Amino acid sequence: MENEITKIVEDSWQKKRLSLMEEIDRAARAVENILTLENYHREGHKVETVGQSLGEFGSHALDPNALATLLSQGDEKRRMSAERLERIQKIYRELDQIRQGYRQTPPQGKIVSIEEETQKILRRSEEHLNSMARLFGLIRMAHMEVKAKYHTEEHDAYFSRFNWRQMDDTEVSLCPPFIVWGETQKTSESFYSKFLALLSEGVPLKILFFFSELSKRASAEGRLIPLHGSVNLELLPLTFRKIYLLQTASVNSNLKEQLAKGLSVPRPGVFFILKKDETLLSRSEEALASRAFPYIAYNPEASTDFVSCLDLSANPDVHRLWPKTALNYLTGEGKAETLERDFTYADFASREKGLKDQFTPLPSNISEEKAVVLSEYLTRTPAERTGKVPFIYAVDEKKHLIQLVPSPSIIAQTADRMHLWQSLREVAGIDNPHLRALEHKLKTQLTEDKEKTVNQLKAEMEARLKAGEKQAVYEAMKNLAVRLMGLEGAKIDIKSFVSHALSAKVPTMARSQASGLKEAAAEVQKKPSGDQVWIESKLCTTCDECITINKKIFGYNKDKKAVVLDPKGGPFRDIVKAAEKCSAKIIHPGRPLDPKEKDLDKWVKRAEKFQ
Amino acid sequence: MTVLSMEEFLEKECGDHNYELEDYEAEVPRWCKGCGDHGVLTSVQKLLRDRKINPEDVICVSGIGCSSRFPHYLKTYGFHGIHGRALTLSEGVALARPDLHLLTVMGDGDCFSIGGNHWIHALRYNFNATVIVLDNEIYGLTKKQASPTTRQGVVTNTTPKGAYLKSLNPLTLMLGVTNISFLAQTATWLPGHLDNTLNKAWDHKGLSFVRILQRCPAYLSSSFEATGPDFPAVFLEGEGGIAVDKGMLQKASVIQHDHHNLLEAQKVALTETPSPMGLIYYDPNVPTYGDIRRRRIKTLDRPGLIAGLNAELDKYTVKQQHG
Repeated sequence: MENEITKIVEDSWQKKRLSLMEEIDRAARAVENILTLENYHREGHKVETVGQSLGEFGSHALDPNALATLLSQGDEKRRMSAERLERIQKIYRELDQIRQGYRQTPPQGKIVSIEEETQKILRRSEEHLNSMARLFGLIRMAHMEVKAKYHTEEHDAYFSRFNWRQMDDTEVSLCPPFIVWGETQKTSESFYSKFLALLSEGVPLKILFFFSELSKRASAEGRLIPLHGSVNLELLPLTFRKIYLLQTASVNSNLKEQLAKGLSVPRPGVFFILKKDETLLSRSEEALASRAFPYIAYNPEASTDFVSCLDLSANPDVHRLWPKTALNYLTGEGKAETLERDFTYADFASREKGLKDQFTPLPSNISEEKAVVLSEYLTRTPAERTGKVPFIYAVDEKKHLIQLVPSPSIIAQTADRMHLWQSLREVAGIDNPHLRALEHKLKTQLTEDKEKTVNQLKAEMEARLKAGEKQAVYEAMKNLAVRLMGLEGAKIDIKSFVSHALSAKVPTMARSQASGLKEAAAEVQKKPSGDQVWIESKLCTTCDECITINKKIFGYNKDKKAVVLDPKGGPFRDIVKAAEKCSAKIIHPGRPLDPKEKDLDKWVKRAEKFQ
Repeated sequence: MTVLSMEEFLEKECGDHNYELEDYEAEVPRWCKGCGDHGVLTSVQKLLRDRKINPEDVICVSGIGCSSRFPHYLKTYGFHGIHGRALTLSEGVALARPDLHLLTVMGDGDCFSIGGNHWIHALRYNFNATVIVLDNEIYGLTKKQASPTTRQGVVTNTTPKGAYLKSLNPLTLMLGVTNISFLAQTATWLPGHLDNTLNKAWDHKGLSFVRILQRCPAYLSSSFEATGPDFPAVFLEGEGGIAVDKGMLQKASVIQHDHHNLLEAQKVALTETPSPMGLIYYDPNVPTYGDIRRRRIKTLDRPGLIAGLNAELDKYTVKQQHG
């Protein structure tokens, strides 16, 4: 069995392993690059290295000593601190060690039996994950070093505490899976409590549970069912909404894909698998159809609402309680016939070898009125069931159609499967009483509305037809009058309508521009009060002209737009020169502040253009 | 304790910081005073500051010319390439380091003349980059030679009797290239518009080409109506286009333009007077070359490829003969 599981795990984890190796490689390469560069800064310009690079001929032609001295200028500054170098080397060493190790022995999933002690299983799974956390910690550190953002005082503490609970979903999904496996035959009755204990810790371990038998033996009293047996594992997602659950048969053609997906989800997962064996191989489809082992996939990552996470779509006839299947039989005359019937759990059980004794032929003294097909019997209330005998159709060895009465235990189990299936459909949002009621209500309402609308429209149409006739007559009369007598027609709306439609586009453009210009005028910087120099800074093109002329008068703001720093920072002459040179023509010189300035008249005149 | 994903963790520890303009300033620019390059540099620096972009997450690639000194003055990663080859280098960077923001800066001579071949093919490859051409209609660094956009009749050192030919209209040319995904035009004397244009271009995934008109104060101070502000221009306005700040409206009028319509765009591009300013053409659905190539890499059968390669090379193995 364990070999089989190893194979399943191996198959499903292969791709992820490649991604993990790539992730390690990427981080290792990144730090390796830093180290190579650092090595170049430390060794690359040594005389011997330079000599080697020049080759024999070059070394004679050029002076390696002089070249090395020249090239190594500034190397000191480029080198990293010894502490950082040591840290990066350590990260690289450890990553490389893990990488080499994985190349020799590829990382494998861990497999333990559910028979082991719960605490031991949990401890081992955490150890397994924490060893991976160490690796992902290193990878994170590597990426930080590449960006030169690792600060010892901040990050040392963080990484010393880094454990699996801090890993993100991608990292967890890249960890080799930790598998706990069990099967129905070997498992003790207390396994349900074990499930609870294992899942409630939140450790992303995966429980693989194999079923080989589906039907339960009837208890001595013929009544169902001791508590532990009636626990519905199918409804686990209701208890643990954050786990991944898959129930399927191992003959399912998509099993490999589904397992690969399920085993890599970054959360606990439970997999119930109907084991492949000789007796069940041909019957797994029937087990699926009879709701004895319905297909269930619950993926909490699929959506934020519960209903969309639960997928029952792979079951036949999802919208029915039991699927319809054909039963082939021979009539007394040997003619082949087919009977369509609901395929219930009892129909499935009647074909299981070990349960033959649970079915007896329908006694011949029972009247047709009293005998009711099981699927119908189960939908009746207890009162309606009184006096009725449920039966199922089957064929005997000669392929003749017979009617079998199931034992009370089988009837109870069938009822139980039906109820479970109905519950599953309800929580999956496929069918429930509220939906049905709503559907009914809507249907009635819509039919009523429809009738109402149809009647209304009919009435309107009739009215319009009548009015139309009148209008047409009126128009004709009017046109005739206009033609005949040259009279001005009554005010016809067409003209204004047409002009309105034609002009629809024009005003929008004109408006945007006109309003734009208005706002533009409002946005243009206002001249400040006073007669001093001022700049329309918003329109500055940062061409450096003004600040080159006088850095005291002109400067840049935080957006590197020119502003006046100090109008008294220099002569009026500089202000006017700047205004003349300004490529955006946005400097307005104002009036001179120093009346004694030389050639002032000349400068005031030149400034006029820019005021 | 809240669990941070690796990305969130790295984001928190290595991510956004508030930066000042000085954090993106390297050497003091050696451009002449009055040159439009200053304004473009500041606009780029403001964009980086406002978006809190780490300097180490940006690479600026350039060719040769005054404008191509850009990477020296922008404190990010930089690559001052060779004449006309800024786009080829950029394409390599875009493919090798898709995680970096790539800014390619060229001049009119660099891009439209010697780099003309690469220019066409870069547009068709549509790699992810913000490409700006600082077009002053003259070779400035080498002191006044005619470039493809120098206007007819302009006297330069290579055309002492005036430029013989009509100038090249780079806009119409680009709108004829397959896979063009973003084309905009602006000018340094429209500072608010320049900022908005660069922001729009920065957001586009694919090659966003921005032609920026600017005056060379040293060698062609008469271009663009001498002062720029008097140069006849018209702003293009359209839904999802480049916003025209109200303050800019006094400089030019506005027309409505559908930048998703190639024929409309070609029509607009043909009109040189007034010069269109804004988003001329935009198609965000053109796949980038990087994406196309990476998609193929993902589907590549690596083990199969290596096995095949090994088998091929094994044919040439020299085996030692025994006995």
